[in-house]
Amino acid sequence: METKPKILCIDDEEINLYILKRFMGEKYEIITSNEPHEALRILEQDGEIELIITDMHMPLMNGLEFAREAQKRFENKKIFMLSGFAMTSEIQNALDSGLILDYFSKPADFVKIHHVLEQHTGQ
Amino acid sequence: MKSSRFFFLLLITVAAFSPSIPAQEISISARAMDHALDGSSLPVQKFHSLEKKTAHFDNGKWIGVKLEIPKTQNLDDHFIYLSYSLLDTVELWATDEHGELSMLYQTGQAFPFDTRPYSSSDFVFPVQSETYVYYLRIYSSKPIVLPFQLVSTQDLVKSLTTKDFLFGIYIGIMLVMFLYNAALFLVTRDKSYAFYILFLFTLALAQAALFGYTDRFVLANWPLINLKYAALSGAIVGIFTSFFVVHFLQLRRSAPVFAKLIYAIIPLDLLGIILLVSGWDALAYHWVSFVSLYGSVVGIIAAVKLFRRGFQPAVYFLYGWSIFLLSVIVFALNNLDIIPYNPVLRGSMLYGSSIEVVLLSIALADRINVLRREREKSQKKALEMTRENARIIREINTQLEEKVQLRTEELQQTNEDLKNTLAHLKATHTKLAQSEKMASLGVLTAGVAHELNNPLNYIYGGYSAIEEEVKKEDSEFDKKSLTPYLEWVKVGAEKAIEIVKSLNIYSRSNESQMENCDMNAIIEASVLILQHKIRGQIELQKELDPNLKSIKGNNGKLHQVLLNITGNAIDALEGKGRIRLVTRNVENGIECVITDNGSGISDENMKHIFDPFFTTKAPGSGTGLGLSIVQSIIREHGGRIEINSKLNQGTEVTIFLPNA
Repeated sequence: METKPKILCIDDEEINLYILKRFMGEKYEIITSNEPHEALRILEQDGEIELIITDMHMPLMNGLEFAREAQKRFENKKIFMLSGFAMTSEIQNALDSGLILDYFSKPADFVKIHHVLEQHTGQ
Repeated sequence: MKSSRFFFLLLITVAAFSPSIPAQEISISARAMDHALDGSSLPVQKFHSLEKKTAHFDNGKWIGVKLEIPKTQNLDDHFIYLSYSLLDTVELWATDEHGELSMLYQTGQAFPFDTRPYSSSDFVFPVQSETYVYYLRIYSSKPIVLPFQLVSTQDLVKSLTTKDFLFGIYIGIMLVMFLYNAALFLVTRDKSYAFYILFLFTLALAQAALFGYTDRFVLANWPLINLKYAALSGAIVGIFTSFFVVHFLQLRRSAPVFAKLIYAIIPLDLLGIILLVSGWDALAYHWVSFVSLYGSVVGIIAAVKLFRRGFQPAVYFLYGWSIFLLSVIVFALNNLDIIPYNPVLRGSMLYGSSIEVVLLSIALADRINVLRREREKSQKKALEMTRENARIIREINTQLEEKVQLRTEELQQTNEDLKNTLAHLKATHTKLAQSEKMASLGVLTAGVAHELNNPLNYIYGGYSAIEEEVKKEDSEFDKKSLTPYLEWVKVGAEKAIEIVKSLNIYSRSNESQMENCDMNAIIEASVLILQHKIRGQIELQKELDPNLKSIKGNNGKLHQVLLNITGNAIDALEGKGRIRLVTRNVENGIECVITDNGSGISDENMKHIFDPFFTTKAPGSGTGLGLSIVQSIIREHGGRIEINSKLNQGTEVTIFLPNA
């Protein structure tokens, strides 16, 4: 049986995670977390997770801080950002440096997200 | 000047009409003794003949002269006349009818004046009838010049009156000069005149002594003083002359060496006076004569020197002094028998000194002119300077006026510029206040956009899901399956409404101060809008009093205040820390306290915290107007804002708003 690639989705708003699951769940195995620290623990436990979609704005740790931490602790993670935040220079820098691979704005356009993820996963 | 010229002319006239030599009808054979005689005896055999009519002897000796009158001479109304005054003792001897030698007269300066047979300044003796041989026994402490004459009454009177007349004129000239210069001295107070009149006075007295007038009029009964007077007056003249010369030629300034040389006369003459008083009369006379000669030579040399330097008064001095010296020389030569004795020449010293005093007086008058010219010159100069000063002052005044005008214009211009600048500043301030509001609005819109995107994501996600469900081919439409999606839409819509509501509070562009304001709601709205800024490990504590009284004010403005202060607190935390928001009722109003444990504010910055344009943020990051506007808003509401902070410990902002 063909195994679906795993995606770790992080957002402090529960509904956003439901929405991701609803629209991405067919092609990918969606693992959710509403807190970056928890997400880091999940990554530690499950080495198979390669793809990550994170919100930008979260309490205690924002999306970029999480991405930095994750890239530092784990190798070969493909991190994408999904945020209602307007594009900032901080996010642009993260894109330029390859910290995150792409940035999607809310409300989410899942056709685009699928397309981009396919390009990056080669599927 | 004119009077001086007049005297000069007078003198020339007198010289022209001076008496001719008295007729020498009778020759005198005189014999001088080989050696001094002493005692009263008269050794006739020791007399010897003199071919000349004058006899010259060394002083300080007794001498004897034998006068032999030819037998053919008529002796009636004739006199033996010695036209000389400076004889100490004169004795006239003759043989009487018994052939005995007897002394007819004993007189001279050593005796009272009334011992003379006639009241005359020269020595005159009557000739006795039938007596043709006389012996004169003479002693003098001065050099003796004896012009012997046998003269008739007519000639004697002529000679004596002429002498008196000339001397009278001389004294007259001296007196006039004396008074004239004394007057000048009183007017000008120039010491030169004082020395000059002293010089004149003593010179006149010395001349009087030389011509026997002091014997006759002044010292007639003081033979002891009279004897010494000629030398004494010479010394005194010397002293005053030296004062005068030094002062007149201004030697101390122009030729100090000569001044010293001339002043040397004073001690030298004083020495002469000491000699005189000590009884060395003959030596004293010689000494004083020598000193006078010395003084004259030095004076002449000094005058020549100064004349060459162009010192104007020196010219007159030189002429006057030269003439006087010339007259002295003529007098001396005459007395020394080098040039034939001439009674007119005998008066040469009178003429010489007259001319001299007149010339010196002219010189002094010229000095007045020089002084006057100098004074006029200095007055003119002073006047010119005054005029120049006045001109300069006028010029300066004009310049000053121009400068004042210029400065006034500049000031007006500056004033105008300042007005413009002020207007510009006001405009800028308004603009900046607006831009501060716009900046806040920027924060606001970013916050709102972000906050709206989440609910929109729910709504859009819900809609997309519902659409998919509805479009499913099998169309086993299950109402239940739609429930969660509808829930998403609902939550999203509710959240959006909440956000728009809070936005409303801020964007209400009402200027009213009388709205009912709920500070709790305002705080919630602000926090909502600032939600996107609260990132990292920032903990937000809200302790809002549910019974908080509402206050009167402007919601929009109060929202701006809370947004600003809470925003500052978030910035101060730099991604890590705690913010505490407290509201409570207090007396007469409410209090909002916003506390953070961030970087705090330094004491230095605290001083400027409400200053417009003061900011610690990077250029472009803040207008520096935030707290300034906050303060003015709170004042508009009649409230207070208080900021307490400690560097690196945190900041507490307390806002009091009255509820009245």
